[in-house]
Amino acid sequence: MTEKLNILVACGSGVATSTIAADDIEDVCREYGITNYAISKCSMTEMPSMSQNYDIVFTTNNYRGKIDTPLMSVTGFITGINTAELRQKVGEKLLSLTKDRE
Amino acid sequence: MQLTDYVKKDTIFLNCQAQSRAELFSKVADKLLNEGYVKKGFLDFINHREDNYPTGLQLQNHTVAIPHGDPQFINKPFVAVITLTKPITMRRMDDATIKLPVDTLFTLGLTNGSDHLDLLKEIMKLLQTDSFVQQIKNCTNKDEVETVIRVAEKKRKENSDD
Repeated sequence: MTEKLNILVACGSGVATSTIAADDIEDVCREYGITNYAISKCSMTEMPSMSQNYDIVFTTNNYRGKIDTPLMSVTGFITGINTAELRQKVGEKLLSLTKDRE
Repeated sequence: MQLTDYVKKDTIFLNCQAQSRAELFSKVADKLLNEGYVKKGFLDFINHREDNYPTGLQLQNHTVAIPHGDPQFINKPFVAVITLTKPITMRRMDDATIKLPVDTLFTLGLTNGSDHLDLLKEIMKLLQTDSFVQQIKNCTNKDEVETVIRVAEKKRKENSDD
C-alpha cells in the first residue's frame, strides 16, 4: 500500500486558474490510472511554504524562486495550447512520482 | 448559470482607448465603481495583482488578458468584456518577463462559490476557441457582444451534450 500522492496547484489568487488546472490534472490522473492522490489549491504567495508538505506543485504562473518540491508550469491548461503534450508531461511526471513511492 | 447573465451592457467596453494598462484599468474600474459592481479597493487590487501575477495569455492566434478581482472587492458578480482600438502592453501569465500586446480583455469580478467557478471554466473554454475571440474583436456594439456570447455558449452546450 503506497502513500497518497499529494498534489498542490497554485495560481495568483488560489481560486481561479488553479481550479481550471486542477480539473485537468484530475482528468490526467484518471487517464493514467492514478487513483491514490489528493489535490489542494493555494495562492502563489502561500505556495512556497505549503509546498513542503506536497509531492509536486503545479502552477499557472511562473515561479522564479526555488523550492525543494518538484515544480511544473501548466499554463497550457489555461490557454488550451499544446494541451495533449502537456497532459502527457504531467501524466508521466505523476506516474514517476507514484512509482518512486512504491 | 449562463455567462450571458454576467456580461451586462454596462460591463461591455468596446474600442477603448488607453496608452497603458494603468490607464485602461483606471477607466474601467471607475465605471464599474459608479455602476456599483465593485468596491473602492478593486482598482488597487487588480493593479497590484497584475504586477505580481500577470494574466496575459498568448492564445493560438490572439493575445488576451483575464485580470480578476478578489471577492472582497466585488458587490455584484460580473464579467467585463473589453476591446481596445490599439493594444496595450501587458505581461504573460506563464512568464512575467515576456511582454504581450493585448487588445482584448475579460475582466472577472466573481464572488466565491462553485457557480462562479463553473462560469470561469466556461469563459476559459470559450477563449480557447479561436473564432470566439475573433468574433468578440469584430463587435462594433454591445448587442453584438451579447449575441456572440449567447450563440457561442449555446453551441458549446450542444456539443458537450453529444
